Amino acid sequence: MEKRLLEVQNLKIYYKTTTLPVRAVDGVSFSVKKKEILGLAGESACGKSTLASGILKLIVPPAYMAGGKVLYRGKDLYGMSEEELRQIRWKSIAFSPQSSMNALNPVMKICGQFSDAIEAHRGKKRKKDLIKHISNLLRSVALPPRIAEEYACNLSGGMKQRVVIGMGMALDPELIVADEPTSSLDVVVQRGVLEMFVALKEKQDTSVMLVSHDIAILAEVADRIAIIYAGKIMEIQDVMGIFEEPLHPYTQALIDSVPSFKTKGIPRSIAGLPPDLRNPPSGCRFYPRCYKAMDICRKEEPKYDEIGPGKFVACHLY
Amino acid sequence: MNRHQRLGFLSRLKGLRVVVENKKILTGLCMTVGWYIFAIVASYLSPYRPRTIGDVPVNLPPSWEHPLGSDPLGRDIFTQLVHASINSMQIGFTAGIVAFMVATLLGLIAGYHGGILDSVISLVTEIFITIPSLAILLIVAAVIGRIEVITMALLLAVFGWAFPCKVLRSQALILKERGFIKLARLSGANGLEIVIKSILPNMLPFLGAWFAFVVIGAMEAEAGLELIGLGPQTIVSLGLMLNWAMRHVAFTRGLIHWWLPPALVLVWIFVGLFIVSFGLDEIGNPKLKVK
Amino acid sequence: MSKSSKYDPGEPKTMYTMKYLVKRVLLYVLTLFLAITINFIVPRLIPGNPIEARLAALYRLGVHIGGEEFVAKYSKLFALDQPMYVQFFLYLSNLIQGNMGFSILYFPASVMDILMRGLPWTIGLLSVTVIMSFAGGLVLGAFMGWTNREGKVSRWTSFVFTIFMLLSRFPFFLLGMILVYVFTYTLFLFPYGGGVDPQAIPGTIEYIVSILQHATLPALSIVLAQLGGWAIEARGLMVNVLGEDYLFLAKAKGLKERYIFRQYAMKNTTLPILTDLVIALGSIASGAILVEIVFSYPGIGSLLYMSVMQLDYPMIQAVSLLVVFGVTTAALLIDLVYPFLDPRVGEK
Repeated sequence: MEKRLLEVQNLKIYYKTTTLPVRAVDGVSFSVKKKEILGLAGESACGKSTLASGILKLIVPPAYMAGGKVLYRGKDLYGMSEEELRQIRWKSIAFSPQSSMNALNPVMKICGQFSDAIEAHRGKKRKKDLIKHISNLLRSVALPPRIAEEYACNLSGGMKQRVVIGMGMALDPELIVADEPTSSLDVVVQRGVLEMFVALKEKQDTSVMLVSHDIAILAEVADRIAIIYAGKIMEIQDVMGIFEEPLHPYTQALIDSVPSFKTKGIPRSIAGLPPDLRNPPSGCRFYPRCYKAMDICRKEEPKYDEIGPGKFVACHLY
Repeated sequence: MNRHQRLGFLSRLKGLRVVVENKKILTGLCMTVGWYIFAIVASYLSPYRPRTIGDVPVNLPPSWEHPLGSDPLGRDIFTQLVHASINSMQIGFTAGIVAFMVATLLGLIAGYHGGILDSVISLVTEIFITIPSLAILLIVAAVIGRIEVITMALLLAVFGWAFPCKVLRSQALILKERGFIKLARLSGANGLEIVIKSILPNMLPFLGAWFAFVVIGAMEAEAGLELIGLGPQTIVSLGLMLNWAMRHVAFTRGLIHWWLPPALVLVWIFVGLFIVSFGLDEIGNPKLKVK
Repeated sequence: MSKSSKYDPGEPKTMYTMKYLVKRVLLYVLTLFLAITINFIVPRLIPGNPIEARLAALYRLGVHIGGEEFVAKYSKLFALDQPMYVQFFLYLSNLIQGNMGFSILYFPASVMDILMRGLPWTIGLLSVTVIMSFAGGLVLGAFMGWTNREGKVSRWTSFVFTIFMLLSRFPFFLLGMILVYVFTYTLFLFPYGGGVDPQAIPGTIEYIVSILQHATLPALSIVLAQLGGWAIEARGLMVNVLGEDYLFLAKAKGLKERYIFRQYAMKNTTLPILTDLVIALGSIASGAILVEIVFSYPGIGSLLYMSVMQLDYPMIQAVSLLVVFGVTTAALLIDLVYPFLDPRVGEK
């Protein structure tokens, strides 16, 4: 209990539409411990980004929170005042958005966008200290310190992404929620960023919640992996367990879809499409595409349960 | 029609429905077109002649026979008003259509083709935008003396095309980079086809909104010129009514039934057109909704 | 350490380049040249000696000015007996020296003198009203957009928005007419005509008060009509800015709301609107001219009106030219300063 940094309990985030609400995150529960990297994997449009921004209550209308709690060190982030939450943001929990093309203020210098976050939480600093701090941060994301003097329009997409990740580390947060931080980067830089996350965990006890559709990346750095599908968590296990003995059929399918050196031939993809989240099917949401489906899977939604130490799964097989 | 054609037709019908259902567009259209129709009907029904001096007794106060009374020169004001409305709107729309067609043509060419043509057109557009139109219009109008209605409309068009042209050009530039346009090019469609079939339909709300603006601009410029006395004196227009009123110092003589109606009609038409353009804007960018 | 890696933020790094400067100045010169040329050509399109034609037109109106002497003086001044290009050259050189000829109406007063009498009034009126409407509208509009950022629009905002929308559709002069009727004719609150009470002594408090009194209604017509337009545009821009990713990240960074409003929202709203100011200057000037005419305010506008009435061609040309010059110069100035404010502009 005391080691749990972040605990999400039955979180529900829906999108208001002119008809039924879209249940993007529909009762998700998991936790992030201190000094761990939790990977969150799933295919496109399964609710991972919504979940990521929902943790810090950064959801924008028409999205709204429809239930559940997000506990940070025991306090519910959705229950506290705006000011309390504002102080927690970035300082304790940082966020790295998925697309950084427009994530930087076009009319402010990069150094300004670092320093405003720093000064907003730690008070005014001397310029010399700021310069030093920012240079270090930039170097740690493999960017030359002179970038601080640039404006966003002069940077490439990859550079912007790295700047944003660097900004996230500025205050030594306890938890970094990173939404697809490597999607727009080339493999070399990708590796650098991943190694940086690991270094942060090892040296500064930082936890990372890494959201990605690329399960291969998660395999490399995550300690535990959560699999999300259609707004619900299907399975959580430690990384070795998930790859050696995946519990949920969807997990197995995900693993199978990654090309590897060992098996030849075209990897198996998953037939069908994710369900319409306005009107999710009764019973298990993966039922229509599951190759191990049983009759009960159609009628009843499987309970999300801990079936072994640290092993959570929502499937009728167990 | 095969299935694809039918779907296309239906979606275009649906698009039309969105336009009609939008309250703003409906309101605006009713205001503008409604007044126009009313004016036409009234102008036929009215037994008086708007420009004939001494047609009716001078300076009559408003009454049943003369809803707005008569002016110091013996003309029924209400008749003046409806005829003036028709003329002003017709001049405005004509100038607007000419200006808009030029703007669309040049803007799309400049935006889509680029190159030298674009540079030249852009330069000319910039110049025309910066020059305050009234100043040049005044020179031309003052010197040419008696202007015909057609000349007036053309003159107005000359200064109305520049700004929409610039806006349309940048819109074309944006659309040009969109995926489906690039796809069309790759699949071999030639320039003209792409512009007509793919770019224009996507700009329709935008085009409509700007057309309304151009008409407003033309009518405003016309009213301004008429006010100073530089317009065609051969027909009654709203601006001319205001000019007469000013010449007879109607403001300080309290002849409110003479100068207020044309002023209000002008504003009514402007507001109507503006609401239409605003509604069209909202269709393009639903986040802008205020009510 | 080489200079590029020393980044003590002293010089603001902008995209300002020679190319941008040259382009802007070139446009400016071309525009002025075009206006001047039109100014030159149009009167000469009428067949015959333009001076005589003007005199004939005036004669028809019943105005007699010293015929022979006038024609002779002008013909000599503008070398009307010489070929076109010589005339044009003469015209240009006169222009540069500030010699725009003599006013037919106030002969022998020079055009320049009369212009100088009216200019201060117009500049005073325009500068105050434009700054007030633009700044005021910008702030109001941005505020409207910002305070309604949660999606639902408050009734107050809707109401103000509708008012602004209606007001912005009034041409300045129409608003002026209504204001005159209400405040001058009906309520006797403000004077009509002129810039100052002719009996007031310059320099006294009475004088200043009188100026303000006479300027209020014209200024009000311009401000009321313009403010709404800017506010609506600012609100639209703010709505767009609010949807941007960088605003999302600003919130995620835990920055204070006021700070986000100033540095992230406002800055990005103000800059695009400034370019629109440049474009609007032309129509604002035109509208102001009409307002002056309605109020008989002793500025350039009224001068223009009287010149048109009396067919004082040199005057008409001079005023038009002056207006073009004023507007394009203001536009150029704003354009030149802009890259210092917005790092994306400047043409790298």
